[in-house]
Amino acid sequence: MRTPLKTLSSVLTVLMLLLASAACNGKETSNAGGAGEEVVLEYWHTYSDEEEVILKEKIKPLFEKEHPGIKLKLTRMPYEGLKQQVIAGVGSGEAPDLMRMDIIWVPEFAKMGALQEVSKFDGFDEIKDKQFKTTMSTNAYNSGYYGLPIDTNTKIAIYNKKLLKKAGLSEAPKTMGELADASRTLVEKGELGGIGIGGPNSWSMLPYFWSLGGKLTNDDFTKVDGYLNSQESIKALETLVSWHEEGLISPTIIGKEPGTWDGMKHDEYLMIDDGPWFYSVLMNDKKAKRDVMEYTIRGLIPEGPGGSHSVIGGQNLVTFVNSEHPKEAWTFMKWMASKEPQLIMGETGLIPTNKEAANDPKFLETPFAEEYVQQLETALPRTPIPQWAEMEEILNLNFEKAIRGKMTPEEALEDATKKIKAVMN
Amino acid sequence: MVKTSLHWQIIIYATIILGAAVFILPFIYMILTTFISSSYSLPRPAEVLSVVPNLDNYIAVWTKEKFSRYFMNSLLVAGVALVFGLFLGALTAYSFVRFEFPGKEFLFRTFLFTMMIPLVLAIVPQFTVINSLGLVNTYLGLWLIYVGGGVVGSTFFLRGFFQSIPKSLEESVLIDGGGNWRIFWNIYLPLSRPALGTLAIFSFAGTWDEYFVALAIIKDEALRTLPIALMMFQGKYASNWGWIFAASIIVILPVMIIYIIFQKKFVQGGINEGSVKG
Repeated sequence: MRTPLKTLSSVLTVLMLLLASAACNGKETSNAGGAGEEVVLEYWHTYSDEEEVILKEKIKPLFEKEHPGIKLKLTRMPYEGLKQQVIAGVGSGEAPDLMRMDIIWVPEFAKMGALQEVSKFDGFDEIKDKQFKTTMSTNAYNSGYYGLPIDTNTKIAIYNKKLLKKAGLSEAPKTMGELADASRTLVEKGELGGIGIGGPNSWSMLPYFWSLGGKLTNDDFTKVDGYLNSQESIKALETLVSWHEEGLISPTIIGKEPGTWDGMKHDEYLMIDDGPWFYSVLMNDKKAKRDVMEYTIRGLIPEGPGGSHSVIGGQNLVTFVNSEHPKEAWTFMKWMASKEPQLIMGETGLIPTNKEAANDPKFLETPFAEEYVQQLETALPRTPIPQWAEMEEILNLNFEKAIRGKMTPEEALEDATKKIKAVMN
Repeated sequence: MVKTSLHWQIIIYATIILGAAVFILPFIYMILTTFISSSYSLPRPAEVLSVVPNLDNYIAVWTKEKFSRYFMNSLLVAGVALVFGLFLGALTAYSFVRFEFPGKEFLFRTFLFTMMIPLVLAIVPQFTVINSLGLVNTYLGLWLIYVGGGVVGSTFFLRGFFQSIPKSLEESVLIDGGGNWRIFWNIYLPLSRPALGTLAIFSFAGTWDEYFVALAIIKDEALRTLPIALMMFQGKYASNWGWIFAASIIVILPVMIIYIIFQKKFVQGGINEGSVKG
């Protein structure tokens, strides 16, 4: 019921967008850009409370000092309905100059024609070489680049010290087999399932699916048939389903309580996976009763037949085609991707996308940074194609059906392959 | 009156109390959660039930950047939208009930049709219109949408109510030399108080809670309304539930006050009973 309605509404939204943009061509151009005049760049972002403080108190003054004549107007946007806000803004020519957006949105907005192709700008290649390849690739669409990475993240394995000891281990499991064995030991001792998968959705499932040998597409992200429904993928999902049936996975996989953070805090889950915010948020919480560094230890996502692959998240910085100040916007983007601002934002636990900054001793001093940077080397992006949103919906639904036993893993993946193939064409 | 037996009374009261408990418990749970500090994961019943009431989260939320300012913004936005929406709605409903004009039914149906369009679909065209009027980032633009949208609903609601007002009442005004305005102002509005009261609550709650349009039209952080501020408490990866619930309680207070003011009107039906001789 939900899917056709959603599709219909997005089709209508796009139609209206087209109509709206056709109606808006007569937009007046402001007189800014004249000699000596100040340019104000409107910048939409979604930084958290702590990150916003750094943005306002350090990033903005520093940029404005180094670039007289350009001012930043910062607007923090909430997540709820953000995509519609951007669509409305783009459709009526009222989009901001700059936006920090989730990496998975970039190809979609690029396809809509909303984003400025930054690979045409001066000095792009130089900037590009300084970025991590995988994070840079999330900006690619049709042989061009439509944004610059601004921060990145991934998830690592976080273990509860007490339960790890109870499972008879002194350090984090290195392989999926060891993890499953540890969880089995604990379940026999009456504990809850110890493999903390947050839910039957791709963001939560993919690290396990990939590490167990599963694949979504070919390396170019153009073909799903023969990859998502390959023997390796089916085997990976079968393993996850069998773990669930055995009770080795935490109840969060079917949406039950306690939640991952809660279960970790109360010594109920052996392991969860999460991003750097797990540490930055909890370490910043002055009133926390337990010190998160005390009761957890960190490890890489355990290795399976496919290796140790986590999922990449993060944000890219983009500028819109109807920005009146593309040159100044690009100046800011270039600056923001450089080492110093990246290190400043790194203070909050956001992982720099600039290689130099990420490997800078100053960033690595952050108590939890090392494992994340290490995990990033093998982490994979969610399929960076404009149709990712639809693809994700299909994947989520079929992952859930497989976990809940409504479909066999083979049926679920065959069915998803067929549907995603249709969406991709 | 037949006296209900004690048995039945107990059963009836037990059912009522049980029903009330079912509705009020989540709310109490929510209030108790606001007393818990550092709740990045939802607290458990044992924690919630043993909490010591304190105002820490309320103070933290209220003094957080501009939250109090957003509260005042929302009061202004919802208040003006309420007054104009109700007044225009009543005028429109009156014309639909008492005047004959070409295309009346068609117009009314068009009104109804616009109510069926989901807000998310309307947001781009609405924004485009407001933008071409140069009213983006102004409350005037916001009011235009709120009042415009509100008129449709209140016309629909009030038309039915107005139709139940006996014609002979207005004849008495006509005999005394009064016109349509007098009929509207002195007969229809006072007699419709229950309906207007109900509508006022809905209208206020509707614009007070409204999020999507407000976010689209208002670009300046300082002009934002409360629901946007509330949404800001929800982080992408983690949310402090104590704060979210404390902020939610502050947000619903005015709606509750409005409800308490107007709820009496709910039950005050039948004012016009006995006003016309059968």
